[in-house]
Amino acid sequence: MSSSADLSALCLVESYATASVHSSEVNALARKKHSHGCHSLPPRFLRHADEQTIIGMHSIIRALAVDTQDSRDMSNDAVIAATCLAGQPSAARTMIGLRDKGPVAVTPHIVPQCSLHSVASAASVGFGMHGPNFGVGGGPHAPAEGFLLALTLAPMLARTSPSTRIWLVCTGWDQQPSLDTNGSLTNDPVCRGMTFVLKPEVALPIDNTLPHIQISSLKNASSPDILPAHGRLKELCEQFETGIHTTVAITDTCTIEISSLSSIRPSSRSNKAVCQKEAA
Amino acid sequence: MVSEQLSRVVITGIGASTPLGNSFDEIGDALQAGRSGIDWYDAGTFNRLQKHAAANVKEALIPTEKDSLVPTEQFEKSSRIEQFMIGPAAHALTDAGINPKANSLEQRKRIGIIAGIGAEQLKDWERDFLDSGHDVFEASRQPSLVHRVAQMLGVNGPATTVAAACASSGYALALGKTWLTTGLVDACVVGGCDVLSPTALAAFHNLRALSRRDDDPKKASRPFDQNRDGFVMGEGGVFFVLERQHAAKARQCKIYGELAGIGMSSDASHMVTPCSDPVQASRAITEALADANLPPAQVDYINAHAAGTPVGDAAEAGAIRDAFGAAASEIPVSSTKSMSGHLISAAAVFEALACLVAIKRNMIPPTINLDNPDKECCLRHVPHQAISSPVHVAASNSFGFGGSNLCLILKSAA
Repeated sequence: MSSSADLSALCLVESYATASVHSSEVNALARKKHSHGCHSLPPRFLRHADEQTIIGMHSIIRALAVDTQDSRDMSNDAVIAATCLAGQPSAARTMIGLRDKGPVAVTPHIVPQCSLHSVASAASVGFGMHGPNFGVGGGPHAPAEGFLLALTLAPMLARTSPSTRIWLVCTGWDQQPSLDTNGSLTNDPVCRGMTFVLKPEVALPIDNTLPHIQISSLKNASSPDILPAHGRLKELCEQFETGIHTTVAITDTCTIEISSLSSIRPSSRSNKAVCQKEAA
Repeated sequence: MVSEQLSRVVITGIGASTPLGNSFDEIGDALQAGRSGIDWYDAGTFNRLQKHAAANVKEALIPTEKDSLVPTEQFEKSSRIEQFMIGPAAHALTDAGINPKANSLEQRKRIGIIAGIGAEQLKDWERDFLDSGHDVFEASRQPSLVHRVAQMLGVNGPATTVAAACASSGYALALGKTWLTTGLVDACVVGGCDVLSPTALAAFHNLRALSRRDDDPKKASRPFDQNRDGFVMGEGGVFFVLERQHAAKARQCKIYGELAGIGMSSDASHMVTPCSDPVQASRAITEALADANLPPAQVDYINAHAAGTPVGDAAEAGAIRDAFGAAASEIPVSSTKSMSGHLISAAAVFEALACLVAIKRNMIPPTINLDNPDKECCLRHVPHQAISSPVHVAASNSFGFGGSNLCLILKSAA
């Protein structure tokens, strides 16, 4: 086999936001109007959606709220959604229905709303994004895999469609839902979402003061400063909030570098009022 | 710009476990003979109907001693979906002449793996639940199938699962190509797998997406026919090994064909129903042709996604006419789902395999059961029987729930 080639995949971070909600509050969040500026989800769009889809759409709205562009055109954009163990409560209730009442009780929404592609597809349909949409991960490595695929898709998009942005939406539970045998929740875990708006870049190097993500090679990616690929989304969000550079391991020798995002944190942005309103 | 050396990606290994057979030649023979892999299927206690037409895999591909990557005992203990990944992925590596476990660690880190699987956790939870387990009530954060299989195979490079519903494995191929063209890996195992399950059968049935014909299962899958009434579910796994062309030529290994172009777009219209406006599906085809640097008229065969649904087939026919223009009336089109059923997550890679068969044999596989082509699906169909015709370039379409559109362009290696 040939030796390693240098990888030049890089994206600027144009916006970034996180969102979280307790499981008991998800239904109320789904009924809320999801809009910012000229972008809004159709009414009742989330009525059959999974918890991770709801929080994912909410994190997109928050990313729009702190965006540098007032009226972003999303029509050519791509969306990658990295979810971890999505659809579990719905799956439990569906299987109980299947066992107790037979196949007639299986909701047809289980496939479109609780599969790995569901969050990405909801974003594409809901916000009118015509670029590629797909889900990634499904398990504990999901956020790291999402960053990796965004970066490896970036060079192709930068070459063929320079105005395209990649919306990377990561979702997961801080603690996985626990259900009794009737399908009722016995805990109230936090569901978390995180959205990056990424601009694929062809040319290297870039101005390092601009928020960006890139792939890099290391001789040894097992340093304690490097977050493991299977880390929880909560830890990743907390790391970003500290405003320091973050490194996530993909393999023993390959990492994702995420520069400081402090310049795009809501508190440092001119549309603070919007963010405060959103937070309220 | 991506250099010529990096940009050309070829297929050097294939492994398959499908309703039409478990080898390239066996599947090729079935496609050429117009043989259906669909039959009555018993979904067990939770059957929706008395009779379900489905395309199931009679015997999963077992890694042979020659594959030597996974002990038979370990394979036999694996779940069905695991078997549909382990067997084909191991065989694809052997077929490509790559034994990761015999390579140095540095080389193993340069092999990646991407699996197109749409609802892996749902299938795992269901299997466990039907076996009286409680995983769905107390889910654990265990690594995904792709990570477990990568470890089994000794593949130490990046590993990921991707999903775009019925286009999932096509996205795995497309993204595998980007991993090679960006220099992330030197070889990439790509493909997809899926299994028939009571929940999936019931959900698709309740969506009214499945055919409800109950006369002859082999006649249930009728893409482009005016009497089509839905698709027939299938299962299986197909994996390829992708490498950069110059590296494959330097190794003097067998090359099945080139993955010459990829095009991806989204309808952004509906979570389930395909968009009746063909513009975005057509755009995926046009972008794939542009990526391959080929004009529409140079395509010798189109393997349509056409699953046999009333809306989807007509929408795709419109997209083909839109993208290929005048050439659409000249290029033979068929849907191999008429024989294989719809392999869901594995459908796109299976159909890419069908294109490679067409290229190797200079043969266009037929759309069986196409007795009365629908006027809304006006194309140059190949009904009932395969035809001999030179095939240098083939296009394969895949469309999924959530409006994902994908087109792959495959070229002969010459």
